[in-house]
Amino acid sequence: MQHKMKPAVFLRKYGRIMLGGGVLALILIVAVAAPLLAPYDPTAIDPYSQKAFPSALHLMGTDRFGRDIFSQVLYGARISLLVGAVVAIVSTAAGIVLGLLMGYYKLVDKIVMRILEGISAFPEMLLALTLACIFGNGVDKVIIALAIVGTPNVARIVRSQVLSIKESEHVESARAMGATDLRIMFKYILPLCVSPLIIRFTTTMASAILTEASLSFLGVGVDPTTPTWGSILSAAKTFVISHPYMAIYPGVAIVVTVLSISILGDGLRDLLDPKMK
Amino acid sequence: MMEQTEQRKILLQARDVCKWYPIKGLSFGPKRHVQAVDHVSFDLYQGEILGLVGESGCGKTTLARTVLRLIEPTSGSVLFDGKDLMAQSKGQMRALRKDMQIVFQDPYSSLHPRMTVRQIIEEPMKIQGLYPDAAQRKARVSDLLKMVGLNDSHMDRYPHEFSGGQRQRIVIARALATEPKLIICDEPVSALDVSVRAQILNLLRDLQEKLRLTYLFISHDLSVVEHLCDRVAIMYLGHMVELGSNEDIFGHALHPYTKALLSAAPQVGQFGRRDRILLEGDIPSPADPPSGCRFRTRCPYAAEGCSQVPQWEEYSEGHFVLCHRFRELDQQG
Repeated sequence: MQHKMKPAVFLRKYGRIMLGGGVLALILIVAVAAPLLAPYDPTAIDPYSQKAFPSALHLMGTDRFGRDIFSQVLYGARISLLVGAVVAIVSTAAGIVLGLLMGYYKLVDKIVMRILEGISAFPEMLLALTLACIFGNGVDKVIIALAIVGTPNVARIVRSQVLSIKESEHVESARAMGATDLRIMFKYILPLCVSPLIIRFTTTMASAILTEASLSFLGVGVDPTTPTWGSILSAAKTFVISHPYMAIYPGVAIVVTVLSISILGDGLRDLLDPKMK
Repeated sequence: MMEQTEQRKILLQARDVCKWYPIKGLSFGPKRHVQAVDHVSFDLYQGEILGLVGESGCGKTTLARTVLRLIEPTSGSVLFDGKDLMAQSKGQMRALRKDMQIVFQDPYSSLHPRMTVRQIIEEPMKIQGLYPDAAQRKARVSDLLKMVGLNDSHMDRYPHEFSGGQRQRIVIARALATEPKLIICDEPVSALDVSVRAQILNLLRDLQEKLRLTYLFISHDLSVVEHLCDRVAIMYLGHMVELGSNEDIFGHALHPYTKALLSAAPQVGQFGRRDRILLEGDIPSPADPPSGCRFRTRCPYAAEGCSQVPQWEEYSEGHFVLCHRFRELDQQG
């Protein structure tokens, strides 16, 4: 791998991964370092500077209680990334286990597939909303609700992969060697499902961030006193006409984050697809 | 090659093995089946090579997989080394697989694409709990690679770096890893270039002689079977129609299908007209096979009695035929 690549080829191959990954890494650093970077306590109320327009003092202005929006956006990144990452990890893990079992055992397939189809029959947002209402406020509860929404998609992808891979001769030769079902599933089938899973991971993460913002916007997400991008938007909704900056900055943060994850996922998909090489 | 005088031990005994696949769909009437393998019986002796010949779709591969219980048979019994395979639990069956291996037709799809050659060959040892010591295992891999004509430098490469012939050597090395008694070769050379076929066939025969292996060798290539096998079985549409020694089949074939098959094989140095038996029509659907003798719709000698189910008869010692009229046909010459 020592030979040099032409810049155009290099860009086409790694450009999106670098762009998406770079922006995402930046957001991650900001989220981790939020306490150091934020000029104010994001929950501190300042009655003397309510609804202040962006200025040198308040980069993104303040909301109606005088809370610094810049600080809120920085802290909000923590919740968004946390929710996105944990939901993606949990639903991918659960989806892998369910998908492997469904693809491998017909009986499990018949039972679990019906349940998953039932879950997928609801519009994602509606289901997330209902679950969040049932579970109540809190980051952990939102994560559980979103993981339930995200799992069926992953499970279906794994299942379809398993169904085709398990007929291949390398799996049959593993059976002929006397390998256990578990060994076949995790050693002979799962490693060949990795590329669609990586892409699904990024999509799940992006949509979890969006849905969490929507839930917080609707007031059923994370505890309302915790700043999240969705709750900042929610607080801004009455002042969108008079003070548009209140909604623009958290909105831009959501768009940039979701977009960078999507671009990263796109780049990974093409990199992992042997036909694109 | 097998000595006739030696006391022959039966390694694998298949009796009335059937594999019927139900046809799915909305049909009212009785449930229909594709009779991929129907009442097949044969013995496989220790140390011999039994060839299994037939057209595509005649059930050769299904029979091989059923005999190894990679596919559950619909009915019938298989005794391997005295043990009834159908009576074994899943766990017992896994342990028994140490002694029986299979080499598939396609060396491109039968190797795990993300494992190195060393990992691939170590897998059966790990699964069967042989050579628990890593260094021992590596030494064994190195021995196996040498045995199949590869070397240590190939150990840490991935399958895609090899040619078809080399991959089939890796598959063979993997099959040998647990020192099996029986190896089923499911058309091991038909996916390979003609130029490498002979090498792989010679390798298989050398290994068989050296390690006293038993092969069930599936092929549709008659010249390969004649060259390699001690005994030959012919299959047609899920039935075994003839079974005999190499000389029986290639010298004194009895079943009309075998004769037609043999006459269709091209021969070197023979020009002009040959007595070719041309079969008419296509092979019937195994979902709806002819009643009685399955070959009767295409058999040039079919008579009225052929709509009865024929018997698996022994013509001479070890030479079996499934045909009503083989005796009269044999007398006619």
